[in-house]
Amino acid sequence: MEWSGQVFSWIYQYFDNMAFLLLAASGLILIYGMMGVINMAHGELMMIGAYVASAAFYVGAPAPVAIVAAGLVAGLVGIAMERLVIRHFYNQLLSSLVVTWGLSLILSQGVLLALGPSTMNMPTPFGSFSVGGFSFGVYRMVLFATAIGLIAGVWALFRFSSFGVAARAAMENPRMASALGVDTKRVYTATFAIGSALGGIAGALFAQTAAISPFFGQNYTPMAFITVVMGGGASAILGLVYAALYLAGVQTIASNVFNQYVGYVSIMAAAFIGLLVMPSGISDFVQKRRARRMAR
Amino acid sequence: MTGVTRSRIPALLAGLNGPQTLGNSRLFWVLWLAGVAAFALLPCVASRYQVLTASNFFISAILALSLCLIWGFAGILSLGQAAFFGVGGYAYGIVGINLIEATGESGAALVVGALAPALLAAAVGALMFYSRLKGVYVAILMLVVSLLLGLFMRQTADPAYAIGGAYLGGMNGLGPATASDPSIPNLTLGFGELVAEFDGRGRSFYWLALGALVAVYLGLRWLVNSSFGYLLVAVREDERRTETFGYDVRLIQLGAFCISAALAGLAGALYTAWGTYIHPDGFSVGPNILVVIWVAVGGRKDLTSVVVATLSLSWISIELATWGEISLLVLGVILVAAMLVAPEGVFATLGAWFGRLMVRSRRRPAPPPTAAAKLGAAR
Amino acid sequence: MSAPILEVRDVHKVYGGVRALNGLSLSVAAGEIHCVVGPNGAGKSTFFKTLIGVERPTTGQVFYKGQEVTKLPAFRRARLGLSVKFQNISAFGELTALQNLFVPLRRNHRKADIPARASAVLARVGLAGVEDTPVRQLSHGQQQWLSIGLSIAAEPDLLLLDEPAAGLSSEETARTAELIRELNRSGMTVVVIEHDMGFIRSLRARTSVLHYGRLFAQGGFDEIATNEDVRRIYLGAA
Repeated sequence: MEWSGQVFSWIYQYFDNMAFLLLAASGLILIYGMMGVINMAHGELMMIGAYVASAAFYVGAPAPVAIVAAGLVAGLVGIAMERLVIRHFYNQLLSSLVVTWGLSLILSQGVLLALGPSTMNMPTPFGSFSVGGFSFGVYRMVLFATAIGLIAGVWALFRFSSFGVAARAAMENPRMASALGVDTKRVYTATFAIGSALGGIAGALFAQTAAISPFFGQNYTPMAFITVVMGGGASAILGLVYAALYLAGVQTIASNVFNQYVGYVSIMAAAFIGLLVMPSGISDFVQKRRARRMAR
Repeated sequence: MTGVTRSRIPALLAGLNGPQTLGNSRLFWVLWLAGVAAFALLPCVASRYQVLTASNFFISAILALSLCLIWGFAGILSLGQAAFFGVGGYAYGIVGINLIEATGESGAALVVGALAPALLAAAVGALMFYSRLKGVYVAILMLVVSLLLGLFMRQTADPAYAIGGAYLGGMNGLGPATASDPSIPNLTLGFGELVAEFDGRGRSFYWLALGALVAVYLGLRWLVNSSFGYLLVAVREDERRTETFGYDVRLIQLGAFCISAALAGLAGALYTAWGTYIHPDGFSVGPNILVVIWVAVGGRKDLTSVVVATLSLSWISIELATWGEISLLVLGVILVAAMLVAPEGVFATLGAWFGRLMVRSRRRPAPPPTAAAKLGAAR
Repeated sequence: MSAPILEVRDVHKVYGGVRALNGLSLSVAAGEIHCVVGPNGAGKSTFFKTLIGVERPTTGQVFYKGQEVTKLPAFRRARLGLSVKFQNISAFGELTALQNLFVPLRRNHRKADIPARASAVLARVGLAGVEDTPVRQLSHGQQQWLSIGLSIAAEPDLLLLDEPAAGLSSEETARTAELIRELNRSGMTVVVIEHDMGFIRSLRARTSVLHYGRLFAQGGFDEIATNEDVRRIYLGAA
């Protein structure tokens, strides 16, 4: 065991923790940022993605196909949820929170009834490499790269495509947007579908590192939410990256100095302290400081 | 009944009635008394198992009322109300194990069971309300608090996690630290020679739980129809506007939050005393979502509806258990359906409808304001 | 003129990249009615929010009765005798008129005295007899007056009204103007923030014009009404 291995291990864990937060939050932030709905069933969409991916894998589909299939199925489930239920709860923050929590209960209990409580596993691909006597899985690095790719993709979708323009218009002024010929209902459904598909893809990716059960998603939603809150709304995507950098850093240090549990708690503690200093998130804080400099 | 007490009853009732509660008529109180009497007489006809189960329902109703106070009246939703329930339960057990042999009673443990969560609420609430966190953030952070407490309790299997004679016990639940320590005591109230023990499986505990529920219900009815209750509703309706009248909104929210936590803790302590058992699963998603379902399906803005819904839904869950593990799935469906059909709560909507019907049949002017009527105005 | 009861000094407020206030300085004398007008986007709402304390200025200071209140939260300013009415209806819709008045009155009065005082306030704003009516059943004009009633029930020294005539008929507008003059005669300083020049005309008070987040012009109403530059910005030809 050499010091180079130790240092690399920390860096490796940091990126791994960051990938976890970014992937879990990517779909959630899209739906929250664009539609103001916190989807408490996001973790269950990830769970569905995980099951679909592993099912596809065991019938012999290559991994990329399995991941795309997971995204598609989760997206379809998302569309059904939006059409049937969530549509009636726009602009009612607390009610939408409760009703999506109900949906999450239905999904997890439904899968439990259908498939039973036993867990499934998928093999982790790509093998491992070693640095200074420590062994590291390649797959977790791939996860990080994928997380960055997905976040960049979402950002580009809304920045450059005509869909992004329509979606932003629909959110800012629904009446005006529909007067200008934007089909706001379809924009909402599409946004929700994309967010859900991202959840499904994230679930498929995590399925290759964690055991899959009907309660697979339960721990993801709160963590993803904390990351989104910490990021703030001023520029949501950039905020998400700031938040992941900050929270994963605290978690990595705490879990190395103490243990895994303290590491997990430290995310929460770090978010609490962060929100005391910056009640509306990191990106709002950065923007306000910029504004103050501008006023001088 | 003497003339003096008879003349006081209207004044007492006046404090319990008001626009913040459905059911202020004489008819309502007659039905209410009949309902309480029927429950009080239930052990005379019901089986031992039914009495035991119903005791737990009353404890659940107290927990539901604690959420009703903050969500329905102050507009503060918490998705982690079971955190306070669990802390109260553990506090009762820990204090009870340590004191039962020394003092021969566990009333002090019950008090600590209510105070400990109130202290936790004061600390967490001060952080949240004084940083003016948005309502959704408060809701989910409370869930995170509950899940973290559960995680903590799960990893306390190491014998080092002992507080006096109480051993936290990880996944085995709270228990005695050594063979010579007592296990979690039954609720034992009284001083010196005058001590009564309430066995969770017996009728005495049933009546005690029913009495606690009635006391909490009446206390909350009085509270929400008092000055403080008006302020809570004012904060719920328009936080900023209330502040511009010189009220420190954060303090009002914190006060309600602590009261709610104390009530949830009381329920938790009673629960531990009922089963002489408390387990980390009490902090998991399941119990937290159940409380929200009871309150949302009942009608968060009305205490009576919440109690009726909790008792009914708990009964439905037990009945469904004979069909397999479907009760949570069915409750999830009931929640989503109720929120689509009656966003102000199924029981509150029915109650308001029934109230209007009664008023119309008596040709009285201006029905009392109801949650359902507000809905009609808002849409 | 008497000492200023309210003064803002060089206040800036930046939201994102937008400068809502850009070096605004303004003072209000004790005992006057002071109107603040300006075209849309002039910074009137932001000015109002920094006065009552729901927003803090990015830079600059706010003084009330000679004391700096820039960083004081809204409820502390209210306790110093500053009362406000927001632009939109700001009564509590789920409560009755009497229960609404309970909120401002409970701070200074015993519970038993409140019904009588509430009735007096309602009579003063022309709403005698609506005590037990839920607010959402009142007409738009009645709700506006109740909102003003809530503000004066707090017994303020300075009353800030944001668009008190919004959405009112011409008759209701005239009654509102009369109410404001009467409150002023009883010793209250009143600041009226308004977009509609017609309403301001009926008050005939000292008027400040905001434009691009600064003080653009100030003077008596007639002076302002005949000012060519003010007309130009109002017609949007600037």
